[in-house]
Formats: sequence, C-alpha cells, structure tokens
Amino acid sequence: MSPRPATPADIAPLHLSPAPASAPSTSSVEAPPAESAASAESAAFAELWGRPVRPASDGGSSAEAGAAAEAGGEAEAGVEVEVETEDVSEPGDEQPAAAGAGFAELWKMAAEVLEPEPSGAKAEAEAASQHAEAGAGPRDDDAVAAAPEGPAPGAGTSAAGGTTATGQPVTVPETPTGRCATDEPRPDGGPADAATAEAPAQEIPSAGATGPAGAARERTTAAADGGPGCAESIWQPATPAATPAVPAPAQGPTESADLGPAVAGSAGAGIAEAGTANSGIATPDRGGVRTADPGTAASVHAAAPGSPASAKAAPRKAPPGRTPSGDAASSRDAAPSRASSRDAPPTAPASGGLPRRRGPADPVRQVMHRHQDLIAGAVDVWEIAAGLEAHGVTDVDARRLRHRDVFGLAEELYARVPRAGQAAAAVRGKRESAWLNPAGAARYLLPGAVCAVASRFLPDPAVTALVLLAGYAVLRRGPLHARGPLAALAACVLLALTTPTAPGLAASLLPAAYCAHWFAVRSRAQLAPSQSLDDFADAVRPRLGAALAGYTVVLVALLGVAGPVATPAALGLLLFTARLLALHGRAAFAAAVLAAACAAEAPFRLAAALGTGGPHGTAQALVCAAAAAVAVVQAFRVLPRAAAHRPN
Amino acid sequence: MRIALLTEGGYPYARGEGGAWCDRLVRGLPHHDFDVYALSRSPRGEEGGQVAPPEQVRRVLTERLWGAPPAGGAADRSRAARRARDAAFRWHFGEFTAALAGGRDASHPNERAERFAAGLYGLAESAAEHGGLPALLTGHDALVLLETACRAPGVRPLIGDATVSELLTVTALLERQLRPLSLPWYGPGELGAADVCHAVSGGPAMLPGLLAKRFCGTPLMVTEYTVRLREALLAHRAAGFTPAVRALLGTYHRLLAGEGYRTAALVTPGSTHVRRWQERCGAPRERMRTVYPGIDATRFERAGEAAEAEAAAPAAHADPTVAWVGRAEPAKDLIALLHAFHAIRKEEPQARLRVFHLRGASDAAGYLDHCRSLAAQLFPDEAAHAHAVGESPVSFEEIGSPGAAELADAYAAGDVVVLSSTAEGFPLTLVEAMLCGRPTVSTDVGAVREVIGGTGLVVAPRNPKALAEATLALLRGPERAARLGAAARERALALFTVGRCVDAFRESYLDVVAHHPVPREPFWSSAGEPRPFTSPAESWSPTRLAPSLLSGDVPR
Repeated sequence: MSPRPATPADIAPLHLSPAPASAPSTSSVEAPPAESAASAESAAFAELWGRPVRPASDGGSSAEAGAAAEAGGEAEAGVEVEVETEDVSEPGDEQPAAAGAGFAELWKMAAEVLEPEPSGAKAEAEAASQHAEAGAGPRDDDAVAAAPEGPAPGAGTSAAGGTTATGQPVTVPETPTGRCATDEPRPDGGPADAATAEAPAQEIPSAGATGPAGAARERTTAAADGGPGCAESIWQPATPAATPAVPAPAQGPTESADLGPAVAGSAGAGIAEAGTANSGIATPDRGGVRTADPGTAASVHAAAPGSPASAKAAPRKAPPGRTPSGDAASSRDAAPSRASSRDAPPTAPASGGLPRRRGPADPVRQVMHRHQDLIAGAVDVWEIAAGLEAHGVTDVDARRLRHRDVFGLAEELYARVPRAGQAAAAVRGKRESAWLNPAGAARYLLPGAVCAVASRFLPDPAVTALVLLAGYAVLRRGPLHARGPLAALAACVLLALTTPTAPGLAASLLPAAYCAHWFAVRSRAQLAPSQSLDDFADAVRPRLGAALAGYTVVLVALLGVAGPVATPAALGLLLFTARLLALHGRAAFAAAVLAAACAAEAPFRLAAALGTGGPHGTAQALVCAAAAAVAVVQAFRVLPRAAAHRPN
Repeated sequence: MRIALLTEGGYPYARGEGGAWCDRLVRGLPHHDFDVYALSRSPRGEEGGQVAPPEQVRRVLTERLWGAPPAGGAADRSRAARRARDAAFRWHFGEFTAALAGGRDASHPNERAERFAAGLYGLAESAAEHGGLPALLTGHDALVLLETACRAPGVRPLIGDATVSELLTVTALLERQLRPLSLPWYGPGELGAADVCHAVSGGPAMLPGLLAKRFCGTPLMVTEYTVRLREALLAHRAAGFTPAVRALLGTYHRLLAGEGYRTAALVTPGSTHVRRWQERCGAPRERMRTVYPGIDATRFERAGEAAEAEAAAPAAHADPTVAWVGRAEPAKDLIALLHAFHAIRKEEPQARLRVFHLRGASDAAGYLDHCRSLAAQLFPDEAAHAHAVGESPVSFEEIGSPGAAELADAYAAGDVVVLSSTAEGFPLTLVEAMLCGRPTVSTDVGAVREVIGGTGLVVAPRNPKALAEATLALLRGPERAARLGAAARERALALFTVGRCVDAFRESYLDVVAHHPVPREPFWSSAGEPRPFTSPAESWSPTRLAPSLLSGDVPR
C-alpha cells in the first residue's frame, strides 16, 4: 500500500511550478539518485521530492493508473510515487533505493504499529515544524535519518539519514508523494492504508523492534512529511486545508488495525498491490491516515509518536507562524480533491469511509493495559500465564496475537511491561508497643507482695514455697511464658535450694517481664528492616545487652535495699537469662544450665541444712555467677539469630 | 491389586475439591484394595469432616500441611549423630535451595531439576534416617543456607534482595510443604505394600508418591483435572506474599511438578487444557494419556431419553426457552448472557430465559444480585393483556426450588442451554446438558471445544451478539437443534460417563503394574537360584508383548 502522501491534489499543479525550487529539498545531502528530469516540472518536482524522476510509465499498476488519472501533475507525481512503490516490490532497476522501498514500507508499518499514537495536537505541531523544513525530500530524509537515531539532525542531514536506511529513504520521498496523493483524499483510503498497514504490522511480532519501528515511523513521518514538507513552499499559498489531520492521525494505527481486513481489499487495488511493502507504507497509517487529510503534516505527526524526537530534532526552518491548522486545512482541502481525482485507491470515496478508531494498532497493547496490574506485579512468566488463563485468555486469543500459546504471550508481556516496584514496600504497621500493658503488668507484683507479707509471718521455706506458687500462677501467661516445663522445674528447684530468697528477687519479676517483652518486641521490629541475617544479629545484640543490663541494674537496686546482693543478683540474672532462652526456643539448654546450677548448689544447701558452717555465701555466689555467665554467653550466641524471633 | 490413593485437600474430606470423582473411582473398582493417604490443605478442609469411604478403602492416613509442625522428633541423640544429621541436612538443603533460587550454577533447566531432585531425595533420606526435619527446617542453618543460595552469583535481583522476614516466611512455608518427608509412610507396610501409587492431583499430593518410588520402587501415576501449579500460583498472589516469597515458592511448585511428571509412569490429564501446562512443565508426551472425568449419567437418564423421544418429532415451542445452569460467579459472565438475551428477544418476542443457579458460596451473592437488577432493567415485566399479571421473561431460580427440583429438570426446562463463561476449566455443566440431550451454545474457553466436539455451537467469549445469533439459529431451527442434542447425548454417553472413566483407570492400573512391578521379593532365592516368577513377563521384555495404552515404555 502506498504511504499516505499528504500532498493534496492541489499540490500537483504547484509542484510543477519551477519556482519552489525548494533548494533545501535538493539540499538533501543524499542527493537523490538519478535525477532524470523528464521535464522541467518533473525535474522540479523531483527536486522537491528528492527522488529520481522517472517517467510515469514506470510500473503500471492499475492503482497507479488510477492515480495518474487524478489531478494532473499531482496525479502524475502520485502515480510516479505509486509506481515507485510498485517498483519497490518488483525488482527496481532505477534506483538502488527503490529496492529498499518495500522494506521502508515495512519498517514504517512496523513503526506505526508499535509506537503509540501521539496526540493530534502534538502531531500537528510536529507537522508544522516539519513543514518548516525545506522541501519534502530533505524532510523525508530527515525523518528517515532520524528514525535510526532519535533526534534527527535536520533537513540537511536528511541525506545522511536517507543513506542509513539502505537507500530506502530515497524511495521514501516517492512514497509520500504517492501517499499524499492517495491517502489524503480518502478517508477510506486512510483507513485502507491503515488496514493494509496493519495487516503487515500484525505479522510482525509485536515483541520486536521498537527501534526499527521508530525508525520506520520516522521514515513514514518523513514520507508523510515529504508531502507537506515539500509542499511547504507550495502549501502556503494553498488553501487552508481543513485541519482534519489532527484527528485523523490520532487514529492512524488503530484505524489501520480495525480497517485492516476491510481495507485490505480496497487498499489493495491501487496502492496495496505492492503488497506488504505498500502496506508498510500504509501503516504508518498512523501517519498515513493523518496525512491523508492534513497532508504530510498530519502524517508526520502520526509517525511522530515513534519519532517525536526526530520530528522535533528536525530543524524547524519553517516560519513558526505557519500554523499546522493552516497546513491541515490545506491538506484537507487538497485531500478531498485528490481523493476524488484519484481513483487509484480502491477505497471508498472520500466523503464517506470507515470511521476511524483511536488508539494504537497493537492488539497486544490492549491486553497489556487490561491486565496491567497482573503483569506488573508478577514475578515471572508462569504467574502471568496463570493469571491470563484465569481471566479467560485462551490459546485462540494468543494465536490472534501471533503467539503460539498463552505462554508465549506471557513471555512477551513479561518482557514488555516494567516491573512495578518489586521492592516490597515495607508495611509500616503500627509500632508495636514495647511496654507492657499496665493492667496486665500489675499481676507481676503478686509474688513480691506475697514474699514481703509472708516473710514476716512464715519461715523461709514456706515463704519460698508461697513465692514459687505465686510465680507459677503469674507466669502462665505473658511475656515470660515459655514452653518447656523442665526449665521451669529446674528454676523452682534452684530457687528452693538457694537459701535466702530475698524479697527483692521476687519483686524483680515485674522488671523481668518488662525487659523480656521489650527485648522481644524490639527484636521483631528489626526483622523487616534487616537486609541480611548478619544485619539482624548486629541489631539484636545491643538490645539483648540492654535488656540483661537493665534487669541486672534494677535487680541490684531492689536487692541493695536489704540483704546480700551477690548471690541473689547472680541467681536472678541466671533465671532471667534462662527464661529468655526458653522463650526463644532454647528451653532444653536453659533446663540444662539450671539443672547444673542446682547440682552445684545442692552440696551447699545440704551443708547448710546439716549445720556445717562455712562461707557458703561466696561459693554459692560463685556457682550462680558461673552458671549465669554460661547462660549469658549462650544467649548472646543464640538469641541474635533470626530463627529465634519468628513472628508467629 | 492394591492401590494407594494420594490426595491433597481432596477425597476423604467432605469439603475437599475434586473429591467426588475419587469417590466414584473408588466405588467403581470394588475388586481392588485402596489405601488413602490424605494431606489436608487448610483447617477449613478438615472442619467439614470426612466422607464415609466404601469398604474397598482399607485405611485412611492423614497429615496436615498447615499449622504448627508436629512435635517430637529426634531427642536423645548423641553428639556425633546430631552432627552427622546437621551436616547431611546442610548439604542437601543447600542443593535444594540452590535449585530454588537459580543462579549461575543452576541456570540450565535440566541441571536445576536434577539438583532439586537430589536435594529433595537427600532431605527425605536424612529425615528417614535421623528425623527431626521440621525443627531443622525452621532453624538457623536453614535460614543461613537459604540466604546463601539467594545471594549466590547469577540469582535474580528479585530473589537476591530477599529480606530476613521473607526468608523466615519461605522457610516456614517450605517446612509445611515438606512435611510428607518426615512421615512414616514409606515402609514396606504402608506405601511399600501398594502396587501403584495414584496421585489424584498434582502438586503436594505427588510428593509421597515420589518418595515411595524412591524408597520402595512403587510406580507412580498422576491424574490432574485442574492445574495444581496454576492454582498454587494464583493462591500465592491472592495470599499477598511478597514477590521474593512468591518467586521461590512458585519455583518450588514448578520443580516439584516437573519432577513428579518425569518420575511418573503415567500422567493422565483431564483435558487438553490441563495437558498444555503439564507439557510445559516437562511431562513426557509418550507417558501421557487424556482421561476425561466422568459424571453420573443415571441422574439425567430420564431427561435424556425424553429428549431422544422428542427428537423424533422436533417442533418449536410456543415460548422458546433458553436455560443457563451453574454457579453465579463473575467468571460465568451472566451479564453477557443477559445482553445476548436482550438481542434474542428483539427477534423472538416470546423467548424466555431461565437462570438456574446452584447453591453456591455466599460471596457470590453480590454478583447474582447485580445480575438480577440488570435483568430487571433490561426486561420489564410483560403480560398477555391489560388485565393479566405480568412477569419478567427472565427468571432466576435456585436448583432445589420447586421450579427445578433437580439438575435434570433444570436442563430439561430449556430448549437450548447456554454457557457464556469467560474463564472455565472443564465445563461439567456442559457435559450434564449434553447428557440431557440439549443443544448447547457455549463460549470457546477452557476445555469447552474438546468437550463439545462439534455437537454444539461455539462462539467467542465476551460477544453477546454472536451468542444471540447462535442461540436464535437453534431456537428457530428445531430439527437442527434436535439433531445436535442427540449427537451431544451420544458423545457424552460415549466419553464422559463414570463407567468409561473407571474403565480407563482400571486399564491404566493394570498396565502400570504390569510394566513396573514393585520389587518385593528377591529375584534370587537364598540358595542363589533364580526365582522366575517374581515379576511379570512384561517387565522383562524390551518390547511390548501386548497392546497397551501407553505408546512408549520408559524403563525406570
């Protein structure tokens, strides 16, 4: 299908005027190959379009003929363009570039399809800028050149750009003319082009080539641009075409998508016969369609999405005052006339036509948008496939999108959609209170109270028994509750063995509960921010030290009020550490340490009971201290591990 | 023959999904012995209790895949034994996690699968020898190993950035999934006594079968009616796990499924829809055989025969009725059906639509109400004349209400049965409609096409207009509808009955047992002489002596 030449029919006569000499167009570095000036007009026209002038007799597709029938020179040009296009598909002899024309079409088509449609306004602006450039030829080249690399150097560089495309760009200028002629006039033509364009575009796996697509778009733009561009000097005097281009372009690709099948038929006749090549040109329907009415400007814009950069990059030589609307209007006017004149496009008459749809032509994009959350949040291809199947996407749908099955489609979607912030946003939950509920904490005072009260009336063993009972009742729940009855048993026995159960020890149950709870909560809070197990361990150790030290300080303070300090302090520390170990999963070890301490204490107790004196105090204190040291060392080894702080 | 049924959240539990067909299978093979080894998936499944198994089921052993790990394990072990156990665990779990995380060393899928299998079987052996696996899996070593595997070179940054809490979650979930490793099911008295292990769903149900194959040599047969891997992936997503956790767990399920398919002597997907996933996971084609689920045809016999009698003289009813039967869920797309009926009514003013919904979960009630209100808007009440009481052409009835006491009545109430789902697995309602001899119009989703197989009309999903046109064609052409209905009934009776399903499984059992005998008795007697009849002849011949279901035999 032929590219959409934006040139309205009325450009033709203008083309033939030798004046425009858009020297700039000729300035295109890529000297259009073989300028065979059939006539002054042809030469001028060729010059403008930067393509070698060939006798219109080239290639004689019916479409061409039809096109030729249209507005005189314009038609001729269009025909020529068409012919060129045709020739592209057939072995072209004239120009080296001609051979690449087919590819150019294809690229354009791909570009059109894969790139999102820019807004019409943007297209307009770009078109305007494009128009600003001199000549269509350079513009095309520009676009072409720009395509491969983003920002196009500008009209001057168009030549260079042209060459990059393996000479294709050379042909591009031709196509645009043809396009201008053909698609401009027809709204259906536009769609037809779009359709044809879309058809080939569909074949091209969408997963491809944004690059080439962009490039193709560029070229298309260039092509499209060629029309208006070259007509710049010509367009100004042209009647203000309607500014339809803006809306048209927007729909380019989508239209092509929709109109594909239907249009294929129509487009095929004249323009599309070239086959994919043509359709490629048609594709840029995005551009093409646009340009259809507004002329190249529109098409340029259409292609713009892919090549906005290039479009912008293109030097805006045109006077800024040149309003795109004006161009659009002119192009639009030209288009209808051209349409009517041109019978090449087998599409419906310019007046009616299939409605244009907005949006991209890429059907995979629709799937992408519909399942955006699913795909963006998925971790691999299998999840996407599972989610797609759950939503009803079957192999039939995947085949429609040119994939073998849903898995292939999932792979493409996985590759195309960027992952949405995989770093799990740390849910900043409510900061767990590290302080005990005061109401619940009150019961920890019970053993201390019992001890204080009972020690006045009852002998020591009885006091011990009562305290133990109270302690057992209190420790059933709460932060000091740990599984592991053995440890508790050993603790009780130990307490029973050590002689003066200072009331301070019983009273220290409350600070013990506080410290244990605080440690557990603060350590769990470190789970989320830690990046590695070592980090977590480093964060927990100081907290463990703080808990132990805090408890010891409070215990010593309580004990210092009355009675010996050493033994009960060591004992208290031992019990506290054993409790911590039991809390966090090491009940066996805690029981073992306590049992060892019991065993070491037993002789002292026995001796005390038997009455044999001796400084048992220090020995007992040493035993308790040793056991406490062992327990503390083990605690520092075990408790900083993450396994000890499982959330549940 | 003694068959060990391995289920997961299924058969013996009343609330299990897919338990009904297991029940049919067990009841259909009364001459075989069954042992059921059930894993329960969630506390909800266990709450419903268990169905009473028939007497063929000799015993039912259960285990939980949720909740706290079973207490107990190795106590009183000497230091040396403990050290050996820890070392073995470290090695095998290291391999296991390396396969889960991927990385440079395990990048090739075959290599990855091998490492996974090596790690899994190593863990199983260590659990059998030393015990105490749950404690080890929730301990410090497991975390360190998992972290090392995640930070290995070549691992995806998604997994490499796993935080400590994610590692804890993964180890906790893995511990649950690997609970079958610690079970005492692999001795000669339990799974070793079975002739074939039949895993009735993929995923965790295959795990005991894999271990039985490894330790006792019992062949494994895997049946899947829904893709368990897909369900697991969706469940992880729904449960809100973080991406790293999902990646690791998804890999675990996928590798387990692959290992199960490769080890199995026979894999029977329920439809081509499921088969694709299995092939994708690495199931070998020569060991796959599609066995369609069978449903009880006796319930629909009356309706089916009535339909056949009617087919002799087809005539359009005065009020052509369209019936829809199923559970009202958004995936069923009742809205498209209503729109299609709207279009139908324009052409056929006398048409009626009857929606029979099953007593489903209450969370779908919102959708049903939404459809009711939409129907009320689209279809105002109509009356015969000015003095008659009108009624809406669309009626929503529940199966069990007086209008449709049974499913067969619901299907018989309609001239055409429509299925308008956008997502479907195996369409059982469609099979039931076919058994009732009703012509069907359905959307091309899931396994619909292979179920229908040309005896009904298939349209694209989400296309009310096409649905309307197809239904109109059937409503207006009673001969064609009768023909299609009869053909559908024939097809359903030929393919989707319980008898056929059970026969297929019986043949599969016999085939598997014949070709993969469990080596129980030694081939050589104590005197050193060979004992010729300890295993069937088929197991020795390199070629097949008898025609079999399997196209190829892979010696294991």
